[in-house]
Amino acid sequence: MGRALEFVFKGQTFKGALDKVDRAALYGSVDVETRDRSGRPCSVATLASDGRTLIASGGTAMSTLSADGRWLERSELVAVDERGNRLNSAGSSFDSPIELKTTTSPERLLDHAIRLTYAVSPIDPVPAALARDLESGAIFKLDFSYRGGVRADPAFLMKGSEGALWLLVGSECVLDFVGLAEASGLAETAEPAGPEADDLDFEMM
Amino acid sequence: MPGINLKDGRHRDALVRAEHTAETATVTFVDANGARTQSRKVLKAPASLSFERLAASAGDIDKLGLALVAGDPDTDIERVGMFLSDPSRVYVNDADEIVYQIEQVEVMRGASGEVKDRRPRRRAEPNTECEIPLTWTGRMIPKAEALRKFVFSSKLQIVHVNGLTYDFLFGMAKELADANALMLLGAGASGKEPLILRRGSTPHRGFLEGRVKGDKYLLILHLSKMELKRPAVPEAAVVSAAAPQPVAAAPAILQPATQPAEPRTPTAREVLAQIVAPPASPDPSVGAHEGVAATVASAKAAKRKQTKTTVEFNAEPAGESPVPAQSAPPKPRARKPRSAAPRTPLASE
Repeated sequence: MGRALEFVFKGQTFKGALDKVDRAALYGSVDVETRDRSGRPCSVATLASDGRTLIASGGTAMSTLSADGRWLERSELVAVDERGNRLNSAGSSFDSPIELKTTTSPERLLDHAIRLTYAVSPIDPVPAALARDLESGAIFKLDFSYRGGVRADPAFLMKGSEGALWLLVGSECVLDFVGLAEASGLAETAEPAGPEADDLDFEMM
Repeated sequence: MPGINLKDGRHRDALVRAEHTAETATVTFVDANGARTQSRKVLKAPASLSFERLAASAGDIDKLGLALVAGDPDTDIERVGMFLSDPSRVYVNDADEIVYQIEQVEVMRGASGEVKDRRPRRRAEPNTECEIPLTWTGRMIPKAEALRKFVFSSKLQIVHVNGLTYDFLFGMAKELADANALMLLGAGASGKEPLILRRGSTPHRGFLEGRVKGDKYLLILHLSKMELKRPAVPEAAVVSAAAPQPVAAAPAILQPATQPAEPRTPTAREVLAQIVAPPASPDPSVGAHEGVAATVASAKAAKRKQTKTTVEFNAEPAGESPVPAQSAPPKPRARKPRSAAPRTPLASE
């Protein structure tokens, strides 16, 4: 049984342990073994652009440099949003109780791509009022971060079709209604209209 | 931006466009002065300085330890820390030699990790932008039900490419919006195969959702590669489930997971009934143990039957299914024995 989250619903608390469920756990998995012509096992490596430096798995790292090329330590970095506003770091969801106060619609959940699926096994009895709401199809929206970090991910607590409790963690997708004028291909192929558009150039033929 | 060949409920098809919907990164990092930063990939250590190579060149681990105390054999100051731009991925053998001809084998494992099959690697061809369009299977699933059954891990937005396909997709979105349901899409000639967007990628089940606002529409292709369900219970647990269970006093969701399930002591009438009553198996020679096995077998059969009525997520696309193992040859059809009676001559004879 995995780590336990504590939920608060209308003043009543209960704990539920998270168990990650993925495709491999349900249907199995496929590993690819690579061998050379003589049957010796092979692995993937990186060849640097100099053509002679071979780098095994784990032999590279990402660095962060300032605009003038100075090496920056991670502690010197500041996270900002798209407008340049400084972001406060989100703590781990396991550190404090999560209040269940916001419900959402099926469409809003469908607007999200689900990245992680956790089965929630209640350790304490689920409050009766919450169980009733879940039974009637309520979907609770919350913010979730496993280890803490710059930003918490949107998550949903709901009951599945088989009666189990689930926590789905994902990210919101960019979806926009489109009209006739907003066809993605039409604007790209349209010729710009200008004063010379009516000029018939016979010299170029 | 991939194209997609789509057919509607009236069997009209058109090549339209599918746009990615993933959110672009909205968090960036700046330095203490608020200036933008840049990320670069750097070399930590070349393969020639790996632990295995150093130990092999030193002779053994103890000698390597002494060499590390005496100097820096694990550091190449000429190369470590250099920026890596446009690196290539190569295959190497256990001697760190680049291999140019490889053979790949797929090792298929079950949910509990056991090896079920080995076969040459196959890469399924994409089937969303080919001659055969994706078709409506006719199977509508209400939105509230679909999101409780399937995990939608990614999405594509279907958009038109000209005025005609605008009408085509708007009509499709309106029909689905009115139904307030998702339509299961199928690929291939059978119209039931899962969707493969890129060569060799994991097949997904596709569910089409439509929304309409005025003269604008939103057509979303939800992609799913797994159901929302817990992994199958091991067989031993299925056998224990055949034992008498306590009567549930509250919905299962209210029961804490750690609550011990104490088996109820059977009443004298139940014990007597077990002794007197015939075993569960129709064969009277089958004992109590076989009776439990029969219960498990019937549970498995029921599960198989149930699986057939649900969307297949571990099915292989047509043409990519592995060669079946040596199966029993088909039974020859029983021929009707000829009558021993003499044939009645026809009138023309």
